[in-house]
Amino acid sequence: MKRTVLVLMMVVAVMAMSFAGGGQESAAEPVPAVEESVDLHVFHFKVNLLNEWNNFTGEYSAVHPDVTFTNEIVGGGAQWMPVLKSKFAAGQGPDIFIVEGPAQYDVFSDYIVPQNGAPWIGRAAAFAREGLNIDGDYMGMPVNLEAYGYIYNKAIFEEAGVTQLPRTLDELRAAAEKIQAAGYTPFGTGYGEWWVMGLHLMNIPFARQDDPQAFLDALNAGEVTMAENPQFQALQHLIDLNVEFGERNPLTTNNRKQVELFVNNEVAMIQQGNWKEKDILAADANARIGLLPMPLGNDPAEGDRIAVGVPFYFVINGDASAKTQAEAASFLDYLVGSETGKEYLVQKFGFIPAFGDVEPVGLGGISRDIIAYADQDKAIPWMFGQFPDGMPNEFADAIQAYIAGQTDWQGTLERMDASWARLAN
Amino acid sequence: MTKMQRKPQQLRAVRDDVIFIAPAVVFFVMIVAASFLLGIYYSFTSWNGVGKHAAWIGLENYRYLVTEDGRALRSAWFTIRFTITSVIVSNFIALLLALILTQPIRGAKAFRAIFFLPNVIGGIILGFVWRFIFDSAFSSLAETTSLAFFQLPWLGTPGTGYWAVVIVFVWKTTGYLMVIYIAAIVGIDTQLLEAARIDGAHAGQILTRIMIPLMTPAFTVCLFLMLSWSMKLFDVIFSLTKGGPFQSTEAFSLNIYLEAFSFNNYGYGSAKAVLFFIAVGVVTLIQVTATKRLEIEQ
Repeated sequence: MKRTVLVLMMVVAVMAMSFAGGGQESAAEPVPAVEESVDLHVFHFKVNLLNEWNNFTGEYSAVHPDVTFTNEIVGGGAQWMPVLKSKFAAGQGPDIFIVEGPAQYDVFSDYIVPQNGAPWIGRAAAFAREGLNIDGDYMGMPVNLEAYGYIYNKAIFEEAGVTQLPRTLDELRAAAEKIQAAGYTPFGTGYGEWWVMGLHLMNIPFARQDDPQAFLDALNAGEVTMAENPQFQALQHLIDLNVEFGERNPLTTNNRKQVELFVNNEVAMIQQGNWKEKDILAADANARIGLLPMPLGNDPAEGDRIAVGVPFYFVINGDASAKTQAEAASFLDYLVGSETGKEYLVQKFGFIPAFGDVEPVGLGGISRDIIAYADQDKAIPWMFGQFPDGMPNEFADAIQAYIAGQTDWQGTLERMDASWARLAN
Repeated sequence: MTKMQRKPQQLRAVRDDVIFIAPAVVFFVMIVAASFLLGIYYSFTSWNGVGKHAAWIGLENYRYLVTEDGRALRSAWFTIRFTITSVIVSNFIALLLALILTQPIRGAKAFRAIFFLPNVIGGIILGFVWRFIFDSAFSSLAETTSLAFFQLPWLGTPGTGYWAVVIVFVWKTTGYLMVIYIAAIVGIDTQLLEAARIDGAHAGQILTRIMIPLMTPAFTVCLFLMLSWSMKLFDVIFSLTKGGPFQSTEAFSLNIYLEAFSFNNYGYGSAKAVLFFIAVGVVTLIQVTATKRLEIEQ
């Protein structure tokens, strides 16, 4: 009898110990909603804003003592999508999370509730507001605008004697030749990073169509192909230019290496966006940088446009309690509507606001260029939020195969068309 | 002891056994068996991994995999080539090291520990460390020494990328296999070896006619381990090349992961995983049965 009790106790002890190890920190577990207090579980991927975001939610809690926050920010090198999906699989879907566009909305559509009637809808910039308008319901709140192009180093440009900023392909080639003669590598291509090619580079021919949305819809319906489209055919020359005047072994350069090459003054231009501005200024606070467009041809009016879009939308989880959803909605409105929120948006996060009533003060050189382009109506849209799941990686693989000389450009476009047809169904 | 007296003792013994293995069985069922059965269920659906409803589509996933998915078949072919290469290379090197390090050399014990060390490092970290070596360390070595070996774009082309993955994986696993071979060599009766030497056999004959046949159990184990590790390899490839450049080093396990989590085709990914499980099981079963037949009882 004693022995049995002893054995049973040992078994229980072992099992208890193994349950204790490897458990999640309590910070990540949602606290059940007690009488007057709500714990909002927020999930997004802006990992370079970790401290500022935590400060912001702390300030919100100071004003609304009945609301506490569990902030989970996964991004950068880590993959946030699998983490988000596994949270839902575990039944711990966050109350507020993000999707990047309509394609990702489809994946999580079972969980997202509309935000119709929210105060922010009236104040958002038109195209930002409509970004996640699904069948008339506003499913997600935009926060900021982002844009990308060629971030360029003004000091190197001046030293190489490039006085006029290139707006066409030929001007870009001339600038690259001057920079190379001055002893710098013109481009830090980043062609080892799938999203540099698959999202941003491939977006350019889509966005430069006469009617980008119509073209995308026709492509999905199988009525047009990329292989026969002049903008896609012209993309070859931009890629060739980058590779010709780019760093050694372009296929192994990821986004971190791009920034490294740029802040070490080894390359003059990198294809990136304003989200990199913080990193560059952190490495060199006196860096003088700006943003150049990515031209496909030699028409200056057509080439002098920057791709501007909404990088993500905050959405609310319909599985949360009604009280939690209401708190989430008022927090989101605080983020973009209150004075504290606006101050944080622009000054602490460094965002370009997607709302007309938020003053963009104190932003860096890239952001100022972007606002100038947007104000002059010289923006082209981001279409990659509507690429089918997995298509960006297919684009990247096809482009890398072309750069390695495995296919010619026409064959590359045909491969992309075949992948699109397979993934778009 | 009468039958009546023996029964309670036997029952008690059985009950004690059950209590001791209960925790392990519980965890196994919860974590391994349940997930496995769920995976088989999902392979018959078109679930996207996160939605609330999984639509039943029967054998459609399996049909698509076998008839239309070129990318999956290419990654299966990569896995086959990679498995054959790593099994041969690592076992060869491990056997060589074991033969050398069982000689009375000074510091042999220390070298055994050194060669075993890479196995202890986790695969993901290994991939990142070697990625740094191939990308940055080799390119600076190329500038200082200008040897062609360092100037190759290691992770940038399919050919060199393939060998980069082989190098890293062989580096990781050889130590483990070497330890098994050392144990087998040390376990050979020295009297046999002495008798052979007295009879005039030279080193080569001793190696091939006596030592290797007596080491067949070690070969069974090492071949089995290396086969199943290589076929299932995921973490090293994920962190070293992510299947690149352009899918040329994409192993089947990585293809399953991408299908389920990047393309949001969890059902289809599960179908691939089920077929993969069957393939690995069949191959390793055949290998173990074949090599077991060759074993000689000492």
